[in-house]
Amino acid sequence: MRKKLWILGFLLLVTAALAVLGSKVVQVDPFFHYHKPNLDAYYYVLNNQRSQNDGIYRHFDYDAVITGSSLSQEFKTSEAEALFGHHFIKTPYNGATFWEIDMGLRSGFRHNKDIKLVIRGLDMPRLADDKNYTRNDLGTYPTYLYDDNPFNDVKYLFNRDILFSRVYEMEYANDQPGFQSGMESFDTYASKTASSHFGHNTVFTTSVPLAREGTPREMTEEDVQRVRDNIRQNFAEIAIQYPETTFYCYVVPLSAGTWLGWYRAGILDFYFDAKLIAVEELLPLENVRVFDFSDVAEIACDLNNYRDAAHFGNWVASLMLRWMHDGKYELTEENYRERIEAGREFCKNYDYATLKDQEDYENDYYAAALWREEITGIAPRPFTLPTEGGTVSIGDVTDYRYLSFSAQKTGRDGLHLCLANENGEKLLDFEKTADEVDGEWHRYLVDLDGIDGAVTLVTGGGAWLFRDTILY
Amino acid sequence: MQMSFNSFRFILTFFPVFVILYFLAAKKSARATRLVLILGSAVFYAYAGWQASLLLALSLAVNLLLALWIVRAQRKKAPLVIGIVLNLGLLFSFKYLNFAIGTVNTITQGTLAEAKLILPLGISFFTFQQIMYLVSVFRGEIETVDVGDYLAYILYFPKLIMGPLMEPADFLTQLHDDTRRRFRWDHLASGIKIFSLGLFKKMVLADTFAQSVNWGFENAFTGATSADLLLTMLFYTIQLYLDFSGYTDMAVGVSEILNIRLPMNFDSPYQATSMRDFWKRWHISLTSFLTKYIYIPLGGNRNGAKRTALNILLVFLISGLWHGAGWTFILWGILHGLLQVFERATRRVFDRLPKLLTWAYSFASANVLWLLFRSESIRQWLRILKRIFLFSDMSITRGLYRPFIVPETFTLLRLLHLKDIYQYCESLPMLIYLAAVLAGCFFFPNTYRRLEKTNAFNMVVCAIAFAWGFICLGTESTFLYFNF
Repeated sequence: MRKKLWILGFLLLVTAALAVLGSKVVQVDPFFHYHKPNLDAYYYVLNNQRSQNDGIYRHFDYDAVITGSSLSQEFKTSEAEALFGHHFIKTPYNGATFWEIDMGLRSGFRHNKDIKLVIRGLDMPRLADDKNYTRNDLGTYPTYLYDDNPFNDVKYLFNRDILFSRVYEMEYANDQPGFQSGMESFDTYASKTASSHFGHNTVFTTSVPLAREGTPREMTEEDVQRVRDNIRQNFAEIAIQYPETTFYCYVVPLSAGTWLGWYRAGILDFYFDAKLIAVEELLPLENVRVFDFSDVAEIACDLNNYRDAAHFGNWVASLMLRWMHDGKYELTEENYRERIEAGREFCKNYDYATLKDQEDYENDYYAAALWREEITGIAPRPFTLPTEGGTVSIGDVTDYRYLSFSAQKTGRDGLHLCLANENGEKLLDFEKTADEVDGEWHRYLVDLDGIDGAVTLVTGGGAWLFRDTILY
Repeated sequence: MQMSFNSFRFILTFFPVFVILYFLAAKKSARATRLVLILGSAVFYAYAGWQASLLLALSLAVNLLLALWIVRAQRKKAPLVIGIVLNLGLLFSFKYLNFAIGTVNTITQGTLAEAKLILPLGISFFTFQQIMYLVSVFRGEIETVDVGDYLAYILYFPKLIMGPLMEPADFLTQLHDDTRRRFRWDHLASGIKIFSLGLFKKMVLADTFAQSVNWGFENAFTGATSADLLLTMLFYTIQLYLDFSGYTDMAVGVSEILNIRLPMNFDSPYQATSMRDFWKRWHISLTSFLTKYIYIPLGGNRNGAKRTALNILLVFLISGLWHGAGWTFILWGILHGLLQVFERATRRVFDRLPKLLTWAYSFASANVLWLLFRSESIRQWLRILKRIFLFSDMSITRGLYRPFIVPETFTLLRLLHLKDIYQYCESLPMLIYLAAVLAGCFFFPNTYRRLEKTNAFNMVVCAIAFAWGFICLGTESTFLYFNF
């Protein structure tokens, strides 16, 4: 074959192939780099924060943001919207430093001039980081997605993983019977509540260590300056630059297990000193409100709220949103010193030995149920689900938001729950196929939002065992 | 970060710009062509970092002076010997010093501190090229030392990092050939062809086998079965060949477009029917170097069987050392040498054996010795071999075949209507990979030998190979989210 013809044929084939592949990526755009998600055609999963958050900032419609490290992952934007009235997105960056979160937020402001409200975490362990510190141990950042350089988009357009693990799978799913387009909710984006266990036995996998104070780390002048620089650059600057936006900065309730770790490492005072400095930097800013939930002992000292020493269940995030809306636990110029010092003393004097004997609830959502009772006055209601298919009347569910239960597959069939009203009309379907579930016990949560009145629950399918069923 | 052929930066930016500048310069003069070549190669290497670049510059300066000295001294031996010692000294310092310190510490129970050194990119290759140049000057194969020629020869980027090792006279003859300054469509076609296949070998095949091999070694004593380890050994044999020959194919392809033919480095080595045959097919340029610059000067096979055997063992010991600083490499070299000696000694019988039998022996030997090459220690190698040959559990673990379930797997299985079979045989992708690669290794003719052949079929094959390899250049960034 003539060489020129061969070259031409080769170039045409390669160009055509790459053009098809690249255009598919642009069309589907699983990382929202070029446009909003096409919610009519595809179903978008949110499961790669460093690749998707920038696209969310660039192209979604919003005027409020919830952002932060993994300690922000449990917030539900639907709850935030109901409370604050804005249109929220959530952009968690697991393991991130303040610098990285700030970079993400700045990208948001660059592309969206209408951001009215930002809710972001003020994580105590990150306060003393260098202002430009970023985690290079977590993976390789897809920086080609963060800039406006179209040439390095080749790494996105001609990317085997993106093409076949995302784009073509999304196209394939599109053609399947029963396909429903849309996007994963921000409520569940990065959330680990549904897949985690909570309680004493999960936070302390062996025994509770002795509360022996370690050699205290002194806060030096350099440390003080580092904290100041960190907060000024990564929190204050953006607030000053956008005075029309309100920033809610919250200190999360880390568990008593974290305090114990700090106490034993001699860094408890260090982190409280750092918190003082950080709060002093933020309080003078008129558009910044600072909340401190770290001293809410009812949360921090109940390990049933936690899946490890730091990460809490989504009900704690719900509480924090409500409290921020209500102005509860806010720090002011008048009270911040007293609050922080009281928190410090509490952590230093807490009887950590009592953590050993804490009850670890069988139903991990029981802590959530108790908090809901605290807020609404509605006590959780247990009942029993029939095995091997059956019907049970569960009464009026108007006051309840969730149905929580544990289940184990013992046969070959999937799980199918159906809620019907008094007239026999189906209100809700909850399904898990046989392939999705193994033979172990798993916990499930059914959202009853919008369902009122007396309902009947029908369990279909083959042999399943149920336990710890509650309405709350 | 270093520049490599299999990168967006090279394929989309560096090489197209370089080719344009190269042939524009070629239209002007031979000097301009050479200057572009030198500067372009310097830029290519500079991506490795300033320390490596500085070291290379130092090596260039010293060797240039040595070459000039050889000519000035009317080709006396002393400057050549000094040059060889200096070059090997440099190589030793960076590559073998810490191994030597570690060995001394082990023998003497000492606590000598290891040096903090970063191995400069391509040092093993450019050191040998320096020695080849000095010897060529010494032997009069290069009559005058021209700075531009010297720099072009050493720095020539297609072969700078990983070879193939090329005779200076061969390179310079082509460089000075005015007919080669004209852009040629046939060379462009051959170059694209072999580059595409090399890219595919490296990105689609070698890197996939590598992940499985890594799993095998990580789990060698904590869960891998005998079958897993047997396959790990085979997969490493395949990975190494595809990786190295894939890179070489890309180097040959790039150089072909520039009208400079690099020597063949691989000639279907797994079709070898003896270990003597194997080393005529595997890393051929290194074999040529060792033969010309060590084996023959030692006397080759001219001084009786015993001396020949000793020479062979020495050459393979040096080969082992050149490949890496460690006892595994030393033993690897010695065992290869012993096999060579054995085949020589039993030649009369060996050469009459059925080819299938000698092929099986050669392939098995290569496998077992590559396993040593990859192992962290001789002990690890022996333990793995023991686990393999106990045949205690011949089931295949998911971890071994999981890497073959690549992102495009389900798309391809659907297109081929094999999705239903996959449900019953999850290792199907691994089997497909293995069958395709072994077929290619055992039955298909060597790519280099068919460089100039272009037809509609290989046009389509190369286009698919290039496109597929190209999209493998990008991967999705994954983070350790599960820890949080």
